[in-house]
Amino acid sequence: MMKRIFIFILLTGLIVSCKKETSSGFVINNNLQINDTTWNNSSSTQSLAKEITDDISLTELVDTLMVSNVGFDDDDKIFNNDKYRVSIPKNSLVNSITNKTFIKGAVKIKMQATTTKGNFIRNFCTSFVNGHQNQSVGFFNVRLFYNDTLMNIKAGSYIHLLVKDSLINPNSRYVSIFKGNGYDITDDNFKWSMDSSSYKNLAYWDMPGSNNHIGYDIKLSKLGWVSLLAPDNAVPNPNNKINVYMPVNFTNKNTVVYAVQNGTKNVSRLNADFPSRTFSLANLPFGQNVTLVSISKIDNQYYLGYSTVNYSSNKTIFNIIPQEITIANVIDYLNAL
Amino acid sequence: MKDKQFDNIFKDKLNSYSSPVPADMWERIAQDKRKKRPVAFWFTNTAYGLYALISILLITGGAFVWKHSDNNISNSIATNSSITNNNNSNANNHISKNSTKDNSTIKESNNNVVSSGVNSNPDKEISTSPKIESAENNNTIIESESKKAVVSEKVSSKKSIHNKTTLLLVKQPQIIGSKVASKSSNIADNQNSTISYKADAGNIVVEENTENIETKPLSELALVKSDRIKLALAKLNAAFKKPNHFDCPGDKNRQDRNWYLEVYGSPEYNFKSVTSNGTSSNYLQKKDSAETMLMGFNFGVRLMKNIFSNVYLKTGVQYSQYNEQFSIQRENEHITTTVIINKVINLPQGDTTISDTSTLTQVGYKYTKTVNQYRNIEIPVILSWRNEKVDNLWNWSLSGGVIINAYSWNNGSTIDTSLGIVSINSKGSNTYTSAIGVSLMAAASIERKLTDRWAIFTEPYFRYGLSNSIKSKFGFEQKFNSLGISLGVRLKLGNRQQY
Repeated sequence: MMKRIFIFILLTGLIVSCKKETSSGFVINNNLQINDTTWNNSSSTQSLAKEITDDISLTELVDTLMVSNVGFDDDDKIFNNDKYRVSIPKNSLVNSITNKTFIKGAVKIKMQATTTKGNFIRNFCTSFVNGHQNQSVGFFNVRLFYNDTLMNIKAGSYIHLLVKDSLINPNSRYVSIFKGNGYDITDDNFKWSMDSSSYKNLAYWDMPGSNNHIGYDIKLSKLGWVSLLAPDNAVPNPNNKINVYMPVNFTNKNTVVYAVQNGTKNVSRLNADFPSRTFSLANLPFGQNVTLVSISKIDNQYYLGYSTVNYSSNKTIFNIIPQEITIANVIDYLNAL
Repeated sequence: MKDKQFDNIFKDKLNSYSSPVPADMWERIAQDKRKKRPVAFWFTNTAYGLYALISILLITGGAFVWKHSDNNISNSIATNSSITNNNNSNANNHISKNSTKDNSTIKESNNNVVSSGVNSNPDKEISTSPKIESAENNNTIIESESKKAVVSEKVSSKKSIHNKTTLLLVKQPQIIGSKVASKSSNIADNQNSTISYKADAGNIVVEENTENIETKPLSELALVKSDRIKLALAKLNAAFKKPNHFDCPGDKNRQDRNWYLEVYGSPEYNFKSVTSNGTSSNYLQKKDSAETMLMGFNFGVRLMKNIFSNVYLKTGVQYSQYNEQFSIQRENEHITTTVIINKVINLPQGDTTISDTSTLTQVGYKYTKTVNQYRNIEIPVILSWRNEKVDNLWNWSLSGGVIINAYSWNNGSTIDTSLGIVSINSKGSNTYTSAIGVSLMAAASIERKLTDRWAIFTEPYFRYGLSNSIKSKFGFEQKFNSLGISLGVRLKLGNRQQY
């Protein structure tokens, strides 16, 4: 009996004293986007684009115009600068809901105006439209409201948007008006279409009493996105294609990549190439010094990657390694682009 | 008053109580006497010493008698004695020497071995067992009528029943003295003469019946005197020396001289207190949330010894181990792995394959779980008051003392001030330094006898750390408190008792 008690106590003590539990490990949090290294087979960029533009897009310009029933005043300045002007003829607006003609009153104008390459990216704009690289004067999104009700331009009528552009392309005669099919440029269904009547609807904005062109005078028959694009001089060939690959964590679910041509206002957004898990763009002409810019938003954390490359027939595949960065630094970088 | 009444009840009930004496009592007494050495006049217990003493007394006594031979001798023996000469019914001198203390008197019972009764027929030999005969005459002193001896005593009101029992035991060795004295007296007296006495440390009563002392020759008279001196010395020995006791249940004067060995083990619930020594409360909060005390244990062995009354001293060595679960989960941990990517890219010129090194970053949480172990070699020094009764199966005790942390070592992990995981291993790490800690311990114990030597016990205890046993370089100190219940066995080493 006593021996058993002795043995029990001793064994228990020895066993417990020698027992040691140590474990350590790493558990991947599958709820985090960064751990999702899969690519989206679809070409949809809508959700990501919305997320990014919500964070870095330009602030909308807002002003109020007094619309009268006696005619239009083309001297109205808007947004407290002389860079943009809007002229609204009488009886040219209708209520978008009731379709009734707006007679007179205070109309609120909201406009997104992107005229630099960095701003193009901030507003998710690309000058590579319909398979062609273009130079862009700018992208403008004009909306008019009366008592917070969206107004439309009355059929057969138009309003004028005057935009100053100090860098009017020498080939400005080739500048065309491109109209978006909506107000949301991030929508997957958003498309640009060239206004075949641009030759009638687009004029120079000249200084009063002179022939000095200071900008463009755009007749808008429809509110929403409008852009002035001029085809690039470079002629694409069938072999033009640029590919960009990135670390595994950067996929088309969280990253957008742009090719910014140095020296001209060409900003082309690359598309996701699902089979190769790269970002690519065909018909981008060789012979350009291109700055490749990637913006990634993963788990509310921004990553910025950029690299200036000589895109040529000799090298078409490039690698970008993004770095973690703040939104402010992303905007600063884009503003300086 | 109640005490006296209570005592009186026992006194009345037990006044004439006689208890049987074991058959081997005499042997035990004789054996014990051989072992024990008197405190004073020890030389009288050896033959040579006794002869020397007798010789000295004879010489001095002879000289004294010779010098005072013209005078009638009126003997007196022993100091502090009152001498009364009485004529007994047979016209013999009866010398009664009483020495009393504390108002105690001792009465003789009819069955008393040491009887003061006078043999009415001096020529008749009374043979009893044990019988001691003198070779010098035909007279035989009455030693006892039976082996049963009863000494009844009127004790003071302060005496308890235990005193009664003790008295019996106390008187046993004095019976020997009485026998010796009686034998010597018998040698000296040709007439019927008996000497009896009863004595303990506090009370000596000698009754002597002497006949015709005046008629004795001088040499015989000297011998009688020497016997009486020896008798007095024997009584003094009996008074001086510590009483010999046998294992007697319930004797309050019993002192347990045994050593005990206890082997015990205990699960215990530990909890620690951490005090800041310059570190931030945020850090301590993080540390506290990462560490949870688990059940600990200790086991050890200790010796126990009675030091006085019912108080025992326990000391030994024990091993204790505090277990603590260290569990920390750190979120948003990034692990970046270099990978080789192979891509097949569809180009207008044809497919091309690229192979490059890239990185894969994974984000999650890191967890670390370990059991921190704080191990200690400790020395308990405990005083225990035991309510032990020999005839009880169950006994209990209360204990308290200190536990000195003699040596400590740790292993496991903790967090540093940057919330990184660091080792607390004693080897290869200076995260913790162990200090000599002192804990207070209080316990209550219940024990059960299994056999005369073995007992099991259980002992709930609480242990409070007085000093910080661990000091951290991160600016905090911590000490441990424990609540546990020991289970153990106790082995009595030897079988010695002292009264």
